[in-house]
Amino acid sequence: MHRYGSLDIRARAACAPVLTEMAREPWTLKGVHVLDCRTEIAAAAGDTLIPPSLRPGIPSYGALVVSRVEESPVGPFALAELRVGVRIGATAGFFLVGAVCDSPAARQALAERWGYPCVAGEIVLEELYHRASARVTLQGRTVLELTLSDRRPLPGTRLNVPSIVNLARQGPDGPLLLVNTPIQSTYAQADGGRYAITAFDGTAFGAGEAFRPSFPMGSTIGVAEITLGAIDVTADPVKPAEESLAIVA
Amino acid sequence: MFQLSVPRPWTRESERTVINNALDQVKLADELGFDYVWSTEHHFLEEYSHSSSPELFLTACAMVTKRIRLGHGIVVCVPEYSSPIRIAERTAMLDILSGGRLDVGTGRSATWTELAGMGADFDLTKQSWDEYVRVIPKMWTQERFSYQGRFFSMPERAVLPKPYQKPHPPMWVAVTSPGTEVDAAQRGLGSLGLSFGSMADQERVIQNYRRIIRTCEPVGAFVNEHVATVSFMYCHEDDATALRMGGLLNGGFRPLAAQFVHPPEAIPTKPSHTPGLLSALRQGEGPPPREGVIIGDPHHIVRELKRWESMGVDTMNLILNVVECVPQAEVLKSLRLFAKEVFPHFQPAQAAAPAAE
Repeated sequence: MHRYGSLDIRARAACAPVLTEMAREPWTLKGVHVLDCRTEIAAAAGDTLIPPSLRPGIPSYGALVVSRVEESPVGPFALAELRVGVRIGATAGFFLVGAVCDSPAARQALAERWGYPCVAGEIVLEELYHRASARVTLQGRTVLELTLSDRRPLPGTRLNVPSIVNLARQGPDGPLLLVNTPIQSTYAQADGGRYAITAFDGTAFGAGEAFRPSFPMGSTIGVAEITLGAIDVTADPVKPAEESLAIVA
Repeated sequence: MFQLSVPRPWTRESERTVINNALDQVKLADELGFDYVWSTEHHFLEEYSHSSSPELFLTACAMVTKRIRLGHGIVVCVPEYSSPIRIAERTAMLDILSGGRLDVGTGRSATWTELAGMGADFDLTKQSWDEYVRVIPKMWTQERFSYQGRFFSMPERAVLPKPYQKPHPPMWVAVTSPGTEVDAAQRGLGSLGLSFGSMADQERVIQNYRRIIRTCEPVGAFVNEHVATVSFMYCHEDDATALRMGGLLNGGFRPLAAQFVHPPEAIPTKPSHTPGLLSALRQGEGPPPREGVIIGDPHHIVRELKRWESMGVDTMNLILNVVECVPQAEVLKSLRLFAKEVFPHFQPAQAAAPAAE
């Protein structure tokens, strides 16, 4: 009865990251500058970005998130993510459709331990008093350009960053599975604002034409300490997640 | 309590079937002696609730019943949904049509799905609700009314018709998270519990409400000190059968409720914004707890209702079906058994309504 995703898992299998070790220890990322722009997306096309085991939010929505990490176990790096809001069983999260990362060491660790589907690219995140902007380029080609304007301080530090779900392969010849990573964020400071997406190439993020922003939601720019938790739940990417959820011991 | 949840796949008859089934349940509930039928207001909540015009559903209820009270609630008190003038007008008409059987529940919605769909500003809904609950009873009771406010203004006009109940129908507010009971109590409004929190949490909320309402400044012409809460209900002679059916209710409800988007997922909001009923339903996986839940054989149900009663709950609102997962014949049978075996253990409810003049 319920609406589920309709991502062609077989088509995605070839580019699914291979988990060589499922993340058991959390990573603490310090001094993370995060530009997070959330948008409703066209539902029918958006469903094709989500594995059949997950359900979309109603309305369908996604996030374009650009982060610059000052301190991590593999040194500084920058990451640009395309996320789609999902429900894993009855819990809200984001399915990571695709990502760009500027650090080979971070790309490798994120892929092998958490299943992040990262490709290499250049990322610039700039913050000014009244605005913030991000540009992502692949081999000199701009694939994402975001601007947040009319910055205004947000009350409190309670910004919502739910868990991230990745599609990965468990070992080189292992099965495809979904892995859920809990995210904890503590913002030292955050501003809201209006955003504009002035350039976007979904192909660079593995979304093709399916990620179609349709109605703006919220956007923030802030500085946070983010903990990428140990993978806590896995699920079959094809069966309804509520039937195949497995807690990682 | 009726949300009119309509399962996919949708056919031409789907919604009509659900609504007709609900009307039959209301008619039977009236005959059996149940006290209230509540109808919620929701918009855009696919499958979960197709109850966007509760005033029309309740009008139909009024036409097929004789004595059961009609709870219009909650009415969303946000300008992008309805002007307070329209709320005062249509509730007065419904009160007349029902012969003075209306209760009015107020609230402010909780999902991005609905609020953004209506173009409402999340951070202002608490304030607009506060303005609405203060002016609506004045529109009902004053011959002519004028107002200059933040969310709406009007020159002097007679808001018509006037309610049949005098001075006006009882007013409630949805209490979905700790803290809202304070808003209810301070304004002399009934506490319409709509969350499935633990009994210990709800007991604290009720005690707080009872304490504060003693010194309230009522927004209406009288204080409606009344506490209601909500539960799924399925009653069967065999407890195991009841539990199996109850599992269907919970299993059908929770995934649907979880699918809607809440403001914190979409936009950072002030911490005062309530996550609401849907968020509460997301908590935890696995089978529903038995404590406090009105699913079981009559013995279990009486025990749990007594427990609620001892905590200070005056009324238990019952959700009878979700996406039609319980066959209609079973819902009606459950209602009949409840009336036969459970009613004798309780005194008739004290009506929240003032006596009609």
